[in-house]
Amino acid sequence: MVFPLIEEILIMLSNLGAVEEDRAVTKDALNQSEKLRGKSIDEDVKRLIETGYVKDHNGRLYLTKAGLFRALSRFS
Amino acid sequence: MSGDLGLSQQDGNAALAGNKNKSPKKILMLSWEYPPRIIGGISRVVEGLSKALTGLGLEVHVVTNDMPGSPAEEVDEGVRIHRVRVDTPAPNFHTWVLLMNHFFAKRVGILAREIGGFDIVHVHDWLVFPCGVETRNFTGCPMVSTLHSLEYKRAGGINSPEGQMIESFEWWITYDSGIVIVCSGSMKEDVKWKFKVPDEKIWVIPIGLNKRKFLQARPDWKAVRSKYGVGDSEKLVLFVGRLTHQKGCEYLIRAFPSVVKFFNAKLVIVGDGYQRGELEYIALTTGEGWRIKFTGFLSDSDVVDLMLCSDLMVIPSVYEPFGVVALEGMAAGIPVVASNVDGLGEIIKHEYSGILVYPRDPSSISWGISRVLGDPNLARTIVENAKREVDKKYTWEAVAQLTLKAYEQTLR
Repeated sequence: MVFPLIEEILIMLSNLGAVEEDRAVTKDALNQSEKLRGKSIDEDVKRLIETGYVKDHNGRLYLTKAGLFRALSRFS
Repeated sequence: MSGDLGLSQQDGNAALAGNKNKSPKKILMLSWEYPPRIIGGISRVVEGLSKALTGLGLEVHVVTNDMPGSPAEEVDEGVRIHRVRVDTPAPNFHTWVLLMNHFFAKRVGILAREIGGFDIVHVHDWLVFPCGVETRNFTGCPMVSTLHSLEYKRAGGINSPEGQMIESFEWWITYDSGIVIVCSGSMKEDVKWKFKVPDEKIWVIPIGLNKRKFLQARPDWKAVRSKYGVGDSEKLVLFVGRLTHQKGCEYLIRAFPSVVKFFNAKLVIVGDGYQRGELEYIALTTGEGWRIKFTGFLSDSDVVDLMLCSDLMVIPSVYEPFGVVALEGMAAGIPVVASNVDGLGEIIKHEYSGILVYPRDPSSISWGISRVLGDPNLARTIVENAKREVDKKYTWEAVAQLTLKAYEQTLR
């Protein structure tokens, strides 16, 4: 099954352990992943921040609780 | 000689010798989720079971994932919770799972040394199986597993290398566990068929429900409904669950226009998931999108309040090994309309404790909803019968007793 880009961004943040402020990662770190490499993710990241799934802490991103649960919902 | 967990062969033998006692004392519960980390149903099952086993006098240790804001070590109603952080980034989810198992195993090793080992390791699903089998191999304590669902049904087939890995773990669980616990008769048949497991190795133990939260809540009916845009004269139809294909919410949304031809109703959809965008679009295309509210994730207490203030709940799942949300609706005193699949078809007796409808069939779902909304006497009877069923069969105390028997059988 092919998932929308926002879902791949969410799960990648979880895979990288970006679940709280002190574990936040840069967009570059996200872009290095196989599923996101070469893709433009700025708009999707912005949407995820606006809808409360992701937080931006000084240019580094991490999942909110809602974002974490959504990211992992497909595996439960 | 030391194993990876830092235990010597002597420690392992001592643990094994200790297991010749037929009744276990120390249980290691492995689960990738535990409240407040609630991704799916496993979280609540492990919580309810662990607390009930503690109530029977067992010492239960849960090793689970960390959750920001929650302490690494906690005792909750006697259950000892050890939350573990996965400190290594992973390139994909399945690698992350294997890393999670490594970090769990490290914690288990330390714990085993501190308390002198475990009598049983209880693994919840494939996600934590590698740690479970390592614990068994290095400490000698027998393993019991619960399979909460099967990948080939969850994903509609095995369609990827990741799916192949999960299915392989599921088979391995059935092979290496002393007893495999499943939550419904239909799941038992699936496991027997899929993995050729002997009948006597699979125990059907249902999931329990903690009714306390429904008995203690005192929601303001008008205020709760108003919060989700439902007026006093409107019927509130409720869906609670992950927004994934497995839960079948799209069929409920497609059914709704037929319902509102006859009833002044609104649909409140509680939950989130990868299918949310698609479902919001489907809702718009029905022409009744203004009657359909997506709330996202809600807190436990908000969900309880909403259940208590709804007119009925619909569970249109395509695959549902058990369906604890059905028990919750029944305990909350609202009629439940559910797909006649798997565990739901075992929990609910049609026109007695609920209404069963055909899965993937919007017209059948709309019939079921109309059946309840159109006959208040039937609705009342269903609710009374359902509450009695929940009280009789689905308590955590009963589940814990059965689980303890499974542990004792494994130790023999």
